[in-house]
Amino acid sequence: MAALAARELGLVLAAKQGDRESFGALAQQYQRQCAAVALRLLGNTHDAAELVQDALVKAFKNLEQLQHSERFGPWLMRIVTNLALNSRRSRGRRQAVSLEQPAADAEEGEDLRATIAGSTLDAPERPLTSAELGGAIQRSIDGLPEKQRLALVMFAIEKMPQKDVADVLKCSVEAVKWHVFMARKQLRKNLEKYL
Amino acid sequence: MKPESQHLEFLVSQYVDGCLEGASRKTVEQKLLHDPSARAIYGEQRETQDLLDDWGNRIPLIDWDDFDRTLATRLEKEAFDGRRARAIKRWIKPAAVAASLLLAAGMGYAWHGMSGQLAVNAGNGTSPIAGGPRRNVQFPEMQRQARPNKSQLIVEEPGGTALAGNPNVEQLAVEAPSNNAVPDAVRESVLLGTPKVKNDVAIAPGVVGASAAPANSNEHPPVYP
Repeated sequence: MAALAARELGLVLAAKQGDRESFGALAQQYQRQCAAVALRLLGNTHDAAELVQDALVKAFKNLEQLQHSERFGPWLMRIVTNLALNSRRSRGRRQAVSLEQPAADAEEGEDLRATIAGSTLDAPERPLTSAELGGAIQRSIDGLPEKQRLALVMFAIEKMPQKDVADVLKCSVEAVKWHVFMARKQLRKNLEKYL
Repeated sequence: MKPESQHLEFLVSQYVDGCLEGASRKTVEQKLLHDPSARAIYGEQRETQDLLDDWGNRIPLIDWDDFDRTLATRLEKEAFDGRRARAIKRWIKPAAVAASLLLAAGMGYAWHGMSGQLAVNAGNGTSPIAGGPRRNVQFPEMQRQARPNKSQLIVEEPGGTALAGNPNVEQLAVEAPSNNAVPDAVRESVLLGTPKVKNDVAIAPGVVGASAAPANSNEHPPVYP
């Protein structure tokens, strides 16, 4: 574990000097976890992949701003979650516009239908329960308050360490525990008929 | 919901997540052992978490090879752009300094020229800054360098011949400011070289460029008998 951390720190420091190969190694180490979190937050594989690309490029550009080189993972995850939240907000605005002008644009209408369907267009690779349950879970998570949603996705689903989640959310570890507790409680309430 | 009940739920939630240690963990386990409602809470939370675990096991369908290729291209472009930006940044500072120096030098040159003009105007008792009318006074170079004051002129040339012989006297007298208007008698006497006025205070400022006439005439006693 310590060796892994030391190797990662070496990669981060080298990447800070402009070594693209080191940054590539870091990207490979984190991109799957980032994509998983992005997928849970956006509900769309294609959008998630694009978002992770953007996040990695942004991280590469702003690597000098990373003060604690040993905390690269949480820092990258914060970029991913911020981009995901921004993307959700802009998507929400687009939907509001298309609801007001339903016949304005066929593509917008399609986007809206896809969202209403709970992003089931991106079929999960291993549907453990059913597409309907998957869609219901996604919609329930989407409906949670922002911090609860992020805490649940990063800690309860992606199993990130609580300290890292606290770093991303800029709150205490105790607050993360509380957000997860409240989110799970709300989720159970929403999914009662499936359980 | 009672606070104690919510506190128990919160503790059970942490127990489900494996985040409880030491005494808290033992307390919850004792509760779970003896309290059926605590066990029910645990069952609900465990079930919800299992559902999330199942759902969370979905792996995003992403072509990672393609992802890596695209990312490498974007990073390369970004690195190139970054180098270019750094190069620009390296040059922009000296360029800005040079431009500032040029500007300062230009402004200094302009100011120098303007201050010369101001001195001339100040000689007339007016300033363009104050908004007064600009006078078209043009002193010859020699006269500007050694500008005599009125007393010297009059004392050295009691007959007024110097003034009369000065080719600019007429011009100066004509262009004298209206507010310092020279009385006709005085002007005539100056031009004809026969000054008859005892106190020449009224002539001096406009004509020969002296700054101001003394308020107290005792400081400058009359020159002529």
